[in-house]
Amino acid sequence: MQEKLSAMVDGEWDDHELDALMASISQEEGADAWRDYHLIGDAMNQRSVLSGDFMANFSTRLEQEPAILAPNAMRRRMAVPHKRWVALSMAASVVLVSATAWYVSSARGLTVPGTPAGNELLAANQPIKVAPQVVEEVNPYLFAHQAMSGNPGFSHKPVILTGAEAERAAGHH
Amino acid sequence: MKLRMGLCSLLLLASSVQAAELLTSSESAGLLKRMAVSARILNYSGVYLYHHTDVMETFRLVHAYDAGGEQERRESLDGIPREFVRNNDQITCYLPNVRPFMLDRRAANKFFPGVIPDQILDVLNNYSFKRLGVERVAGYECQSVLLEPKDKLRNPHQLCLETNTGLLLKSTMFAPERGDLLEHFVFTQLDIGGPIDKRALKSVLASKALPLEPQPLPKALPAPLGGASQFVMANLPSGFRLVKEALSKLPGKADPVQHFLYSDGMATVSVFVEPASSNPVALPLSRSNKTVNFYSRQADGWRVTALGEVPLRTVQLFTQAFSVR
Repeated sequence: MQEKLSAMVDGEWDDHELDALMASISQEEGADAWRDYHLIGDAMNQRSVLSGDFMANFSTRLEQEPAILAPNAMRRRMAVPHKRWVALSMAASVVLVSATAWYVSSARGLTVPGTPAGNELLAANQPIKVAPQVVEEVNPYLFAHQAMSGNPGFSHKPVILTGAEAERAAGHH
Repeated sequence: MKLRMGLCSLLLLASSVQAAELLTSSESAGLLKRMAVSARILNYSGVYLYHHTDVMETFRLVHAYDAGGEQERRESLDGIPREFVRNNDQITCYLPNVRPFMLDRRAANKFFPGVIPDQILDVLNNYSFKRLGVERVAGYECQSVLLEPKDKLRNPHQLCLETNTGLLLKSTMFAPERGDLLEHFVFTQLDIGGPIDKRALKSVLASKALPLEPQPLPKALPAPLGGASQFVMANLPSGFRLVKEALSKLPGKADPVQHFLYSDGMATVSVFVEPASSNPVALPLSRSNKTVNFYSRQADGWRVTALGEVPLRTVQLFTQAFSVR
């Protein structure tokens, strides 16, 4: 089946194009702006677009964001019956979301069963601020996983871009 | 209200009375193929909801198929505008003030409702297909099918395929034990068939995205390592197959990390192996955001990390399966 589908589109895909695109990102003057975005595809191309301290910056900013309720989404007709509505930070009302959800739950101090290491880390240090560090520990792997698996399960989350950052970039701020 | 309650209880009754019928392998394979083909060769347009962890979003989708192949545009209706424009297997993502970028072919095969399993055979080996009741989604009748894992290493999935065409109208991933909903896609409005206005397929954001400038060809990528040969993989969780292997550059990490991607046909697990010294962290470390589970441990000077859309136990077994040769 897959072979068939692939055969139908053989020749449509040009890896060089993608590579050129990726290269342009890291070479361009605009590379600075890019550092604030997550282009997960970079991991696929074994090239880093992000600065090393991106996660640290992000976590700090996330903590400073005001908490709001997800606005538009709720007004729509919902087909999910027992949805527990939660406050989402502005930064988290984000693009393709699994990684972000991870930030949020961790920033709220969510603890996970069977995580003695993580909890001790929390207790030994500043209780509130350490959670993002644990998250930072996880996120690079999550990004790389999503980059390579494309869309594991049935979602589409190969791109991570924070809503707040995108808004700033777009000049809405 | 009374009527609604009555209707609801009637529906509940109907669905509980209907015994789940086990599908044969050929029926199951046929179902997966039908799902993949219909998503590709039909014209359809609508709005779907994506619910994941604690987040809900809606997307508008327009899909057309003609002699030129598959054309598709989907846009986010909540939050920052995002647009995914498909030309056959190539999907270009547009965001305001950002350079457009493309997704690879594998990723393009995972976009709702055009979900194509990595290996149909693996799906059949790892999940039993049970026919449930007929549901109604976005005005269409659909046949609900449960993909029940044959062991405790993966999550159950439920699919609802439109009765006439086989188009996937709803897809849900549950947690194995408590049955919590982990991930959910469902059309809330849909039109199947009929002509699609070409204008609806054109990117709106392309004009707002940064221009795509021609660039010289990039430097050659480093040759892929025969990384697997350094490690012994013993007692890997059953039903998973290595589908990809690479050196991945992780954000915030100086050195590239060996990355192995496994799939059971539906779910994927990544295993990362790196020298332990590069990361002074209390291990083992385990995290979960419900949908994705993460486990990291250290052995023989190496750090082995696994994560994926599978139960925690499964990622833990993956880390234990890797050792240095």
